Amino acid sequence: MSVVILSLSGLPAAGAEQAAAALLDIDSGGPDRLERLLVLDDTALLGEHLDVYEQIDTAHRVEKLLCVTVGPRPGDGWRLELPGNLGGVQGSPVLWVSRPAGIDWKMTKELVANRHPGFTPTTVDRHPLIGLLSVEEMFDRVHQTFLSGVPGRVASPGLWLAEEDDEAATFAGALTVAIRRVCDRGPGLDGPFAELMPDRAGRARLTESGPLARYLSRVGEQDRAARQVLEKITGFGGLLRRGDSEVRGYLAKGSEALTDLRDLVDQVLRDADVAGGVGDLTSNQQSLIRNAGLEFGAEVTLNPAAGSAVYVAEQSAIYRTIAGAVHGGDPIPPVGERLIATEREVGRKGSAAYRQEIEACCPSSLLAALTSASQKPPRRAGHAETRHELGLDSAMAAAKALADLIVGVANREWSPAAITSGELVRAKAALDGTSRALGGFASEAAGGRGGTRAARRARLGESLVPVLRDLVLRVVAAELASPSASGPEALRMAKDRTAAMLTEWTALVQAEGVTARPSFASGDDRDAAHGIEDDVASIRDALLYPVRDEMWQLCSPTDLRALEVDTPTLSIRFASRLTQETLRSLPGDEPVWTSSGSFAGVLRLVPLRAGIAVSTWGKAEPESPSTVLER
Amino acid sequence: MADVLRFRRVYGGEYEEIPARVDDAEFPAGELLTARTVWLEDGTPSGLELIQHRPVHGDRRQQGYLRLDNEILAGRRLHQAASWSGYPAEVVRLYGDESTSADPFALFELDHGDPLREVGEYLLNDAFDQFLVGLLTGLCWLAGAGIAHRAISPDTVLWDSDTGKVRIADFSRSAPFGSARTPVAGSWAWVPREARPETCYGLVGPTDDMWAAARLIYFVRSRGKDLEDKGKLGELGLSQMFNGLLEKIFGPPEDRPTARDLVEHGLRRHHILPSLQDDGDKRLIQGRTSFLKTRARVHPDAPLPPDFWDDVIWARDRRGAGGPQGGAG
Repeated sequence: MSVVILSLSGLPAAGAEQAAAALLDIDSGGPDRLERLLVLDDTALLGEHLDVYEQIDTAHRVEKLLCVTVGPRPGDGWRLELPGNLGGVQGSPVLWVSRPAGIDWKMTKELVANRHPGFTPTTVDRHPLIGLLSVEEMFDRVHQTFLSGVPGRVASPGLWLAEEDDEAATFAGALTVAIRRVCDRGPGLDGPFAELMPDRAGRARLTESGPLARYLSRVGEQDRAARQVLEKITGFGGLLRRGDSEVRGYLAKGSEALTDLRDLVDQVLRDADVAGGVGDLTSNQQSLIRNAGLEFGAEVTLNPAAGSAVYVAEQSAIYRTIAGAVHGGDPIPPVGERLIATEREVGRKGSAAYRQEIEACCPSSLLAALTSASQKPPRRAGHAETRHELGLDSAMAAAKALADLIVGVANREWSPAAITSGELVRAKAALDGTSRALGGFASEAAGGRGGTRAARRARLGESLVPVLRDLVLRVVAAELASPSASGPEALRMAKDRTAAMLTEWTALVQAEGVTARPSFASGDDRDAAHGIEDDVASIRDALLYPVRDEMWQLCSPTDLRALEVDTPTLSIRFASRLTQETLRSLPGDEPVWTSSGSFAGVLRLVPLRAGIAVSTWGKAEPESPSTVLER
Repeated sequence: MADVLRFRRVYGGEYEEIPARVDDAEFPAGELLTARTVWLEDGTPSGLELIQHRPVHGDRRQQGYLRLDNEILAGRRLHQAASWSGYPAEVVRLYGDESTSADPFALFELDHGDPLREVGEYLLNDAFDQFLVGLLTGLCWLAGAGIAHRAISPDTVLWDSDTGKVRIADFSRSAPFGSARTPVAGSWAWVPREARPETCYGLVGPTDDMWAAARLIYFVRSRGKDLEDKGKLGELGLSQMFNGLLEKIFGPPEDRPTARDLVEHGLRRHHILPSLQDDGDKRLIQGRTSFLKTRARVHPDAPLPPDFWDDVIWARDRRGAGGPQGGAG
């Protein structure tokens, strides 16, 4: 629970009672228990407000109470009269701010003070001391210090402050910087992802013993045999005519194999067609493709028991491709555009649409020429020229073109490993949904970053970029692991997942500081602490400041005589948790590491001399100044 | 049917003011109409949640009246056209209105779905087919009701990914066929030349919405890109898909194919179209007569449109002739 402030300052008795009742009355909606209550009051009105303090005391619902009383002691009295439940041996601690503007004072017996420069808030609730005490961690430490070490539990506070940024605001601002880096349109590669194109992702190949490979091989065998004969013929200057018929025989067999190959390719393209490329292959079509001698390699061999669906998704080609681009520094927009460029290339249209390419690969005229009875090796021609004339080169090229065609179609139209349009669109939707949710966070955070330094935000933001990229990729992996029913749903899911992860991250930072690693972060490089190392010099100096040296003491010069300077000085050092990692090794007491507020420095508590503060529930007896010993 | 169009009492309790979905480049959303979520009292399913559109107060109130009139008239015409076959799912439904009081309003069903501006680029292939059919069916209904939407764009056409349905919304700039075209402000990407302020001419007709509809089809197909050149239609397979009819939309309105043409002669799927023939023709004429009476009362100065029966004959003749020349392929 945070620190609750009850301001009685300037209120007459009735108004003060009303304010207290509003806070403490259960019937009117007050809390069951107040863990930390900070009461702000005027020193001159403490007597008028006795009933309020009594009410607080009897309510028994306040666990820890600190009172800051502002203003000089009333009249010319030397006594600081307090309600019975404040100060003393058992009362709640009191910080007496006799002059909010304070003085610069070195804690010595020589009561010499200087004017404190700078701005002083007009209302006490805007005073840095109140802001500091409103931080839970600070409130607790001050309360504990009073109870354990401040005689009479009343002290005059002194402050030594260094400039520092609010941790929560700094984190939000830095995250905004990181979001801009990851989400804003920036330089990136164009065009489709080559690794997701069908020829790379489909993994189709001819089985060695299948008909397609057999026909292809047979064309090659006949080509080799014909070549050997031709070498003999041309080697003897074209004198051996006996080889002619032998060559014609090989040509005929080669033509036969090429025709078989062409016919089989045509049949498979026709019979394994899925109209428009929309839909799945039937089991018969799968058998046809398999029996023709096509197979598809597995992308990655995974042990089903080895990991979650997300783990499996992270092994997919599409995830690895996106992760490579994002971790390589590409912002989300160009990555998404490349996915869509890829999608345009992977569109299916049905295998029958490729039948028209068969004629271009293997013209009918070639088959006719190969089987023509008039084919015979030309005389007095070179080996290469002879092969060309006979159509052997063309036959080999046609066989290879047919094989390439059927493998290409298999990759694009039939491969279970091929990346589909739906996968690419969903991945794009996941990226865009993440980007939109992050953009929304950045827009909200933009309004609340006042007071944090741009250089620090930028440095910390840089260190958050890798974690932010992990967040983006986790959303993509979740979508791939559990595909949404539609693109818009993928967009919606990505927004929701991103918002949930941002909430987790922000809560973790609130609890553990900006270097906390959310569950979706990979690795363990805590760069955030290093990113702010050079910012902490002034904070380190402030924390090491000698506590008896000149500080901003929140009292008037005339009240210095009421302070006890001979006792050991009590002080509390404090700084934002942002700097904890860097300043952990500072000598001396452990500082209070604050999770909010923009404070760093030292709070000095100077107790009052014995007898100055008096706690009573009744009106104190007037006492002559001479009866109080002041040294 | 008539009771659906009458004033319905609205619970006077809690309601939520929200900006109306009235998109206009000239005025920010909500400038002309305000909207709030309401619950009907009787005669409707318990807990039915509706949106109430009202003209705003202040300087824009007069324009708000006109916008509201357009919405009410379009909704009533659709009710009349659809009475024999149920209200079309492809258009946002008018549940009731109060058009004659000093504080008029229209009650619409809540918008189901997201504007295509937000989700259009994520439609998967099968969803694109549903979108195509839904959009053209919706436009056929509008033509059957004798009105042109005149503001078709990714902001006014919604996509409900849960049901795979298109829903055409915001009829605030709609106009009946035969009325003189008034200028429509907005991005040139979505306003055809004949309706732009600088070049506005002619009478509203059944092909007025087709220009923006074709661009919307491209917008979704291209995953969020505006059509810069009609040559791009071929790159995405849209020319082939529509048998070359889509290109003809980018000519003058008189030469454009209608939504029905695109479905019947482009996609060749006439079975999905609402039946507006036969008995429906008579009902259309009756409905139109009733509508014109109302319209003459609300807008006494509005020009009288040509006989709607001419449109029906015109459309029928074109169908009989095999559709637009060269388009049926």
